Amino acid sequence: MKKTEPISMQGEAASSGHRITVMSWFMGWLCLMSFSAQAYDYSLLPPMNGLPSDFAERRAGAEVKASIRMGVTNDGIYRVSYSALTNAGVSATDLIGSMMRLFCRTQEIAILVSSSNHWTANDYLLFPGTGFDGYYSMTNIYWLGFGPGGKRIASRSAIPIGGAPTVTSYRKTALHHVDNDFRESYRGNDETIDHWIDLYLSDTVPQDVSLATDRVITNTPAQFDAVMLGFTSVDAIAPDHCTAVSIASTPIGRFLYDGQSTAIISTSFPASLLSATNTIRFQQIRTNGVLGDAAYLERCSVTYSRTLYQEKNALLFNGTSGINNYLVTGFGGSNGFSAFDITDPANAVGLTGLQTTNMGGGIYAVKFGDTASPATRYAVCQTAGFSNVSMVQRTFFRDLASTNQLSDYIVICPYDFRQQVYRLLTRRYTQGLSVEVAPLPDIYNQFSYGIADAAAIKQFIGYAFHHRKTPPKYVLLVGSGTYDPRNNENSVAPDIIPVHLGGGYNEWTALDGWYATVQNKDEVTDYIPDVVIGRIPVETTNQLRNVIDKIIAFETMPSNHWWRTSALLVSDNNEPDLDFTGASDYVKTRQLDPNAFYVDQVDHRFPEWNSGTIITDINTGEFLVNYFGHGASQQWADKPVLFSSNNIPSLTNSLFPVITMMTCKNGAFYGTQPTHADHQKAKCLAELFLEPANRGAVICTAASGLSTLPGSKAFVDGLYNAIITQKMKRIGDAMLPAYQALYLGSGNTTELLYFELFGDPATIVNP
Amino acid sequence: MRSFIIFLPALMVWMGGVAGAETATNASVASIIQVGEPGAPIWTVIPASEASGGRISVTFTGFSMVAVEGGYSLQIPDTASSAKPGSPDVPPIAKLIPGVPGYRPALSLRGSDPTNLTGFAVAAAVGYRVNEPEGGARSLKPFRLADPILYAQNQFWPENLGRVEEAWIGTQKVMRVECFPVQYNPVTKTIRFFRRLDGELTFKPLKSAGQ
Repeated sequence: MKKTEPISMQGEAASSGHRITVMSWFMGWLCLMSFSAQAYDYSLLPPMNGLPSDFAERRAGAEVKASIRMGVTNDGIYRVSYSALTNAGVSATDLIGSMMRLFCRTQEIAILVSSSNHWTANDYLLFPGTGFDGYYSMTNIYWLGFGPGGKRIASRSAIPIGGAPTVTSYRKTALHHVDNDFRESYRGNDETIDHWIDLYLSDTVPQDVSLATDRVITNTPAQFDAVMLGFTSVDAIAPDHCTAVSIASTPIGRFLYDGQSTAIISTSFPASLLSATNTIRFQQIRTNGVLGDAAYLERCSVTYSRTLYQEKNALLFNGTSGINNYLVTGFGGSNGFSAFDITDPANAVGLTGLQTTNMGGGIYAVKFGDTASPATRYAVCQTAGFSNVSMVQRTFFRDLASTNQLSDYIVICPYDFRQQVYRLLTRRYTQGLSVEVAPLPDIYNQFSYGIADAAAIKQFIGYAFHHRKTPPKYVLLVGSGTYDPRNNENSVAPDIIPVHLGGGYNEWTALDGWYATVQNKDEVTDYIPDVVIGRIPVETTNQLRNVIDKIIAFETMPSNHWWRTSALLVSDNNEPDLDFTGASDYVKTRQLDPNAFYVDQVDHRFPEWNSGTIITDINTGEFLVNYFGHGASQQWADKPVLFSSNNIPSLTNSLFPVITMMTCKNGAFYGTQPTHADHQKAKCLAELFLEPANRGAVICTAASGLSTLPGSKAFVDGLYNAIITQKMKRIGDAMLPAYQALYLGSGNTTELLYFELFGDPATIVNP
Repeated sequence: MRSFIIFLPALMVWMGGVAGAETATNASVASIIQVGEPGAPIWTVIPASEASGGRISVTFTGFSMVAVEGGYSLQIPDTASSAKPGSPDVPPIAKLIPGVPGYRPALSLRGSDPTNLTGFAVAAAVGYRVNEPEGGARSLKPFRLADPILYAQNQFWPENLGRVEEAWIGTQKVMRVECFPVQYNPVTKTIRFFRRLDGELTFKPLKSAGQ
């Protein structure tokens, strides 16, 4: 996932007040280590703190308008052929070797071209590709363009060196890093972990991980490393975690760490324990005084000495310090070898003077000599070992970075939704708004170098806000998203518009408001959206059509229709410090003038305190519906359940309400399944209200995470005041006073980032 | 010197003045006590500018004391602000006013016309913990847990009568001015209530001002 480096141990230690050490004992020796490590790698895009300079076009190869997009998923030497390019629609007349230039993110990548002239069918280019390990994608993007002065792979002699030792092995790391389970409530505000775990470890049942190794040199110790996340925590005992690890049924160590910390555990062990398929067993050992020990395995690895032997006709390996010869063996032929120093992948160097040796039995080896440091990285390939890019696409750029563009209203969507989106754009344009559609792939291409990442959306919105002559007023995201964009859980829900996850109220949750907090000049940090953002969290074109049909129907209702003066206020049973009915009364008294509004109240003070009444009231016609109380993703209240996903089919209303669901997680749209026993994974009520054709709701506001009553009360009070008293025209206009009211009451709470608007922010609520 | 009325259920107490501050003692516990005539605060804000600063005055007519776990929660109507969890539950009052781009504001407030009430325990302000029942949905559960350090200090909380923070709402800079007309000393169990707060907003230029 997002991280590429070990997680900060020192940071954890400093913040938790514990001295983090890891102890390992094996065969009579004791090892005591402390760690320093790095935090997550968020380096794809620079930090966005809200200054104009934070937001810029992030286009790779802009200097030559590079437009041929290629995907790379693993480290390797990549070969792009004439046919791959022409099949993607690149004109053969453009294929002149000397004019080719390759880019990745901010760098130009040195390439090797088979011909500097006009290419013919057998020509190709080579480059060292680097994989990517992002939260949203594992595909790195390279851009090919055409222009003079391109960077080329240099060369140096690597003729075997007489008298120098010959290196025949290297250190290889076999990594087990599987994201099996999303734990949103574990260290819910912690940005140093991605909240995905591999295994849950307990003190009752051991857990096994399988890891393959090959061509192990057994006379050199192997190294085991793992990243552990403590789950249980006992304040009075430190350390309170002990993880026992064995390989091939042989214990290699017990590792101690404390509380809900991140621990990098590490030990050496005899490489003779390794075989082709290794079973690594983990079990928590209960410490005295600890009732139960549970932890998560985040990932683990084994590093061992391996023979320099090809893998799929290629081998990438780190060199050995000093002047050495390297003998890489296992190849099936004597021709077509190439070798590169890829220490700096953007400036690879070709190695010349390779020597081929027949090892017998049809096996050939390549030998070269070089001066290296431990960081020197080599790639040796035979022709069949070159990798192919995952795709080649010719791309046409919109000018999303134009500063002359005037757009009050921006819709961000996938290409597939454009036809329906144009219905909205046309409507908004005829209402006097300047409009723009920004397809998501185009945003990636221009604001995150072509790589899928939610931060690209914020880059684009921030860019439009700061650098265009007038900032946008409304941004609409069209498409649902999930917490699982890489589909670790094999779910059916597509990730259409990515979700930015962050710390809510002790919970890792969707923060669409993050996209819209783009203004923080004067060293001011706040969570108030600077542009009104809404999301229509649909998965299909039909669902989108339904929502847009309802928006149009809603807006075309007469301004004096009785339904516009009808409201339903629902509240849960009160508890100490949770006066839900008081909150309903507060809003009613302040905002719903009895001379102008007919208000239905459904709460414990009235006999019809049940879902049937709510359904009947909505079916009769309510303009505003509000709920204060406990809730989960798919329901209101639990003693009794006042409304739930099961009640959605009973809605037959033809007058569509604006529903404010002031409870926990009714706006948790980022689940991965239509229905699921775990509420967090299922569709939320906001989605279920919006999706149906000709019934349900036209707009919902709801929290994607856990919400508080004071914040909810202030938010609804502000929203209703803006709609009813101030008669603000569009729902988006009314959202800003609602956020202001929330900020006024609660200060700079993260609720500002996840009290979400579901629907079109430009929807007219006061015609 | 003012007289103050405490409304208890079936009980009304006149408070006489003592040495510049009015004091009253009541050890009995009632579900709701009204001090004065609680109503919405009246704000007077003279707009701020970097040159002249701004002036603020807020008038309060009273507050309510609502019995909760651990003592009383002090509340002023029509205000949605909540105190810092674990601190004495005295009501902050907040208002948004325009900010001044390029400048950093500072707020100084003076209280006048104080009233002291002794013998009342003020509960800790509400915090929220995540409640995750077995097989059930997560929710936030309110709790009142006094901060032992704050509650051991023989001084009024909060120490300052107000503070200001800034935010941007689009291209508009705003200031959130927060006032505390009611303070509490947890050691002496004394509530101090100011009927009026007056103060100034001053501004210092940031390095980037004028660029």
